[in-house]
Amino acid sequence: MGCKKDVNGTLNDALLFTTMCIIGLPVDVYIKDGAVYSGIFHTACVDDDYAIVLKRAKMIKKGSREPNVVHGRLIETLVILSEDLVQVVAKGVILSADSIAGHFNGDNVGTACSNITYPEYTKEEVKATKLKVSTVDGEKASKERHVRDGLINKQSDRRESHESLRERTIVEVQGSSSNLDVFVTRANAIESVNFKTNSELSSNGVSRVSPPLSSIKVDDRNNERHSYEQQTLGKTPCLGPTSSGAPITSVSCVSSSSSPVDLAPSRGSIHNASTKESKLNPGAKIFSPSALQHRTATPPVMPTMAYMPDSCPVVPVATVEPEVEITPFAPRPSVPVKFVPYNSLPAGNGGLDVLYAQPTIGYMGNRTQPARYASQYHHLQAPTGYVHPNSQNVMVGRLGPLVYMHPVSHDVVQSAVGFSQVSSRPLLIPHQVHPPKHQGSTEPQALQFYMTPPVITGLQQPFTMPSIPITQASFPVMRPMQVPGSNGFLPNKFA
Amino acid sequence: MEAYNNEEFAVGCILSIKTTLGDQFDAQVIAFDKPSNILVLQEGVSATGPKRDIRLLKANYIKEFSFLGQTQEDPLDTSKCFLDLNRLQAREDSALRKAEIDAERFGIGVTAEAQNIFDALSKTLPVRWDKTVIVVMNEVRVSSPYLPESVVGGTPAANERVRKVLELERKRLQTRNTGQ
Repeated sequence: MGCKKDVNGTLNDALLFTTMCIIGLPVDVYIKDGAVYSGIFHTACVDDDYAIVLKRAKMIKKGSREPNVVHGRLIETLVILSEDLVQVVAKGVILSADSIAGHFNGDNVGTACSNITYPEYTKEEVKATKLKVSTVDGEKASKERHVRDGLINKQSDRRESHESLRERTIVEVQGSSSNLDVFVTRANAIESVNFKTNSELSSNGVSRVSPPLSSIKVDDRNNERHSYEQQTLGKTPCLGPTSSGAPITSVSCVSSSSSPVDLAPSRGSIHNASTKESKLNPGAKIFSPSALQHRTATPPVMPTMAYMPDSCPVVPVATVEPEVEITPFAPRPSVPVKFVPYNSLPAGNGGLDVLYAQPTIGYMGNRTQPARYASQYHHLQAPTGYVHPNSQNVMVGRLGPLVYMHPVSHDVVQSAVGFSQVSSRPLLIPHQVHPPKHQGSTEPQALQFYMTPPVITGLQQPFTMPSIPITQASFPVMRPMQVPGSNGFLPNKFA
Repeated sequence: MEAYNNEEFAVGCILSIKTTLGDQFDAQVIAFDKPSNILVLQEGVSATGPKRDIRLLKANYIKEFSFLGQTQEDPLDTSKCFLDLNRLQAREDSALRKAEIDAERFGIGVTAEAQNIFDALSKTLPVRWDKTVIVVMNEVRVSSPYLPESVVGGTPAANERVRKVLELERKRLQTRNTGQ
């Protein structure tokens, strides 16, 4: 085991756990030259070396060397590299959960806390019972993903311009999607996708060291898990200067390794804002952004579209159904059905729909799997209407459709808007729209074209649309029909 | 198993450690991470209560250590280890906020006396620093040397009030200093 760890360059779980435990606590850091810095432990790089990042750091004791830090001055973000680090002292840390057990309640438990399978030496066993482990990993990953969502979201702003990059990411993910099906647990599937995405993202990110990424192996669960953590912790520092204006200082004599850092704020602020609050009051926090989003411009449909792809593989989408709920449908492939409602909402209600959908998502956030989607979704929305689809896609899962989505989405949006005002059958619209997309992804475009035009042009046309794919009988009864129809559609396409 | 992992530092050992920087402390080994060469230690093992002082110490900065004993149970009970990311985030955020507030209280480039005056004034009035000038209630400015005469601006009433408080606080500081 010991050897393996060496190879992986990942840290002992106990150390990782301890590190996590002291996040946000004031710590004193002793530097090689005898200097002592006091600050709030922000994060640590857990790649080969153990470097740490302090926030609001201050030198409380001067060392023998002349540092690049003024004595007594407050340093917004201080990176202490492994070479300089001697000791980190945190006072009053609670390691055992005994005393804080009361904080875990209800459904939040799943995401809020994950049991750390931590002794490394049980790896043998772990491998034997891989299934079990993988779920645990999933949980853990989900947890981490929260953090990462923050990061990624942050990045997404920046990355808007990097269309190409993102596309590459999508491709990546698609490639992995085949693997997904193979995976036993859904958690795994998601994990891998996200994982890939993430690694891709990070490589896209700002220029700098990304050794951990390259070292990642998809097939090894354990590695993955570690890599996640690496990314959460380790990547944070790397990501970057761009994220915030806060001055960053790296105490060191090693000039070459000056890796300014600062994702910190993003993680702190964004992640915290969304994830934390969603936990406490899911509806509230998520709600507002959606409203904003809505106002800003692009209709609700956009997000919807983006969402669709997700549904295919895993499911969370199911939850999308407004009030219905989170519960457990998730894992089922019966996604198509859910689609309909979700879509219908946006189209029909116009403004309100988005709001509805969002809260739901918020709830989902609290559960493990859905959580990611929710959070991601949410995050993504914040930036810009346009960005959403893409980033969303990236994050989620099956991306095939996504590419097409873009063009379609516009049409959809327009059409949807028009309809909402005019007709009482908004439901159809979304319905129709969706099929095209899916088809577009899996099948020739011909269908798509066919489908879309009517939507865009005529309000009345919608009726014809459904007929094409499947159910003609459905015409008489609009709503009931739609649902079945949609089911029929999607499955076919996917098949 | 642990011994295998941590050849040099067995988990659970209580050691008296002296670092190359001159620190000396007794602590229990929670873990040793070989790749990074970091020893995770906790102090205050014997103390009651869940709170511990944690030290992450690079093993190569240990000058010498002596073995004091060993506890039976694993210092980290794996079944009781939970992390609540939300709580961590919240904790960090609040810590940052607090630090920020604290930081604003410190004048930069001011004398200790000025800081004392600032702290004293802050007990009764809303104050902030504007470089080396203490701004009271956002209108009255007290600049160096922070005497009642150096109170400027604001409405006459506010100005007068600040002067009074300043005078009183100065007296209080004076007596406190002489008292010590």
